[in-house]
Amino acid sequence: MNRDRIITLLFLLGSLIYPILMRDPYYMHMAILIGIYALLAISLNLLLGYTGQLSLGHAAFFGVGAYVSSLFYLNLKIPVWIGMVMALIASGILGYIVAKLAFKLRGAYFVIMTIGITEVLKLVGLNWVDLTKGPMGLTDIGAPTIHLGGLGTLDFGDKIPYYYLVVSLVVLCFYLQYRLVSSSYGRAFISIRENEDLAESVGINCYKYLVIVVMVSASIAGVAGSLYAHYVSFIDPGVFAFFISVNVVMMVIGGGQGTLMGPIIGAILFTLIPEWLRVFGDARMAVYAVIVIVIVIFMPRGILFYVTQLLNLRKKT
Amino acid sequence: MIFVQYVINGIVIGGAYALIGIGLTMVFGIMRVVNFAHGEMYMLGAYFLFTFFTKMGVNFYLSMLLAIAAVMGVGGIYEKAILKPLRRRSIETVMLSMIGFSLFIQNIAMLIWTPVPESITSPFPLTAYTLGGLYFLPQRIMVIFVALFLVLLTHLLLKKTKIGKAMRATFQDLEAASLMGIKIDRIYSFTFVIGVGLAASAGTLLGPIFTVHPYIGNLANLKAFAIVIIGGLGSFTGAITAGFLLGVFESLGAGYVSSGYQDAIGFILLIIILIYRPTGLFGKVGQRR
Repeated sequence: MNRDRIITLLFLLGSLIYPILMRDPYYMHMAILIGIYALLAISLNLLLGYTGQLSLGHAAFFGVGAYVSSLFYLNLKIPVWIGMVMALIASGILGYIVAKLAFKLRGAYFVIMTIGITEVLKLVGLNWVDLTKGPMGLTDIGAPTIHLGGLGTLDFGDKIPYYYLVVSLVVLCFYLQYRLVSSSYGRAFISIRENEDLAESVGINCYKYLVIVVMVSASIAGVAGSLYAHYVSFIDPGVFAFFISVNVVMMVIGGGQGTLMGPIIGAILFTLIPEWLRVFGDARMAVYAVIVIVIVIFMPRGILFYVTQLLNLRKKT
Repeated sequence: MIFVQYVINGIVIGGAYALIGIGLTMVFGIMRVVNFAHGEMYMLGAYFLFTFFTKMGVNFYLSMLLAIAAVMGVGGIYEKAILKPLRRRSIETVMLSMIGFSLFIQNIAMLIWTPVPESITSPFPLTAYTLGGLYFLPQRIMVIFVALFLVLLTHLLLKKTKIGKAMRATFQDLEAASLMGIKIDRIYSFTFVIGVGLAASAGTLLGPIFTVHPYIGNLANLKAFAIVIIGGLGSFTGAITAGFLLGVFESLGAGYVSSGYQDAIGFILLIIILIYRPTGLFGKVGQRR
């Protein structure tokens, strides 16, 4: 077994026994949020890390997932699980539309498209009051339950079951990410990132692969949004906040883009950093902005890369 | 008649939009930098005007000049400190550092001026001139004249001056221009400062019409991008045309459809353009990046 596998397994083990070690509700709360953001970061990593396309609108897919799932639950009273699937499908369709339009051109277009679609969805969330209740937001979004026949029902309204639900989905997506990037699709993605013209010249239909990767990425982000909504049980147009999009990008870059573990490390870091920065009071976001600039300029390969480099250096001397 | 009134209102706002647009398109066309802090420069322009004029009581036009100069200073410092060392880095790195910068400016503005919306007092009489059933507010007449004047000034700068010629050369072919002895670094700094100055000027023009708060830059950014893409990335004429178009469409949309979705109109136009003419109204057909 190589080192990466051991680290991954240790991480998995750690996340499984975490609730036993950390009984404090605040730590459980943070762990659940980290899990939800890890899903979002994995989804963006497929796009940014492997095909090199920057999305600054992942909040759009996240928010659509949250709203679709909540609305299905609140208005149609269908089980949460079906709502989650609906969230996945709706975000996937949105991703398809965005990709179809934006990838007619490259470079800044996709970035601007993603920012734009997020702002427009925020406006829809604020103004379509009949459906979304506008700035008041949707309340009383229930948590999923499983009927276990004679054994009663398993209610995910508590933090610990919800934590395991989130962890299992993160593991699933992590595995999906692993399988996808080590398949022929993954090689096509990487070839697009490295040199699109060359990829095209050896017969890779870049447009097709880019549309596929955005759809997959958006679907996962939708599931993350749905998980978020059913966890906090309240959402408002704030789920489309630009900050969420930026923070997810920072998770992927800070953790290490184009690596399997990067988004997980990044999700841990960038869920906690905004919390720690509360000591700065009103200046919190200004300090966050400085951290963004520093990481983007000085650590573009992610913390994981620099830590391993440091460890290797110590081994040599 | 109400239709004509909407169009006139739209043209006034469109003048300021054109300024935002040409600022952004210049920086993109010449420096290949997507300036995500463009909206924040607009916001700063409005806030500096608020400070100089409303708070300190300096003459209105002088306050406008001071506000624009202050924003150019901020932009110049950022260009020298962050963008210059990043010249050889990927477009993503530069984009993200611009995002960081825009978040920084937004939150610093929040610390200085608080998140409470402020309104800049208008130095003009509030009674409108009427002409054939149409209303013309003195404030808005000033806006459109100043906007047109600045557009013309930028046009002359690009076409008639030596540095303008150097800028156009850099836009056409970076390497050839640098081989001809044009100091690219200096052209870049100059372009960036002029670009943010144009955004700031739009802020000083629209600031007294709308309210000012630290987050107005977000929508200004979005509109600026819409304008630049509709007009064709890097196209000066395109940005002006798209700026006026957006102003008019927004005004008509707010009047006849719904004012809640007014700010989405730019994006809807952008999508229509991306479907039918992805390189924009004035972009070269067949260009991909």
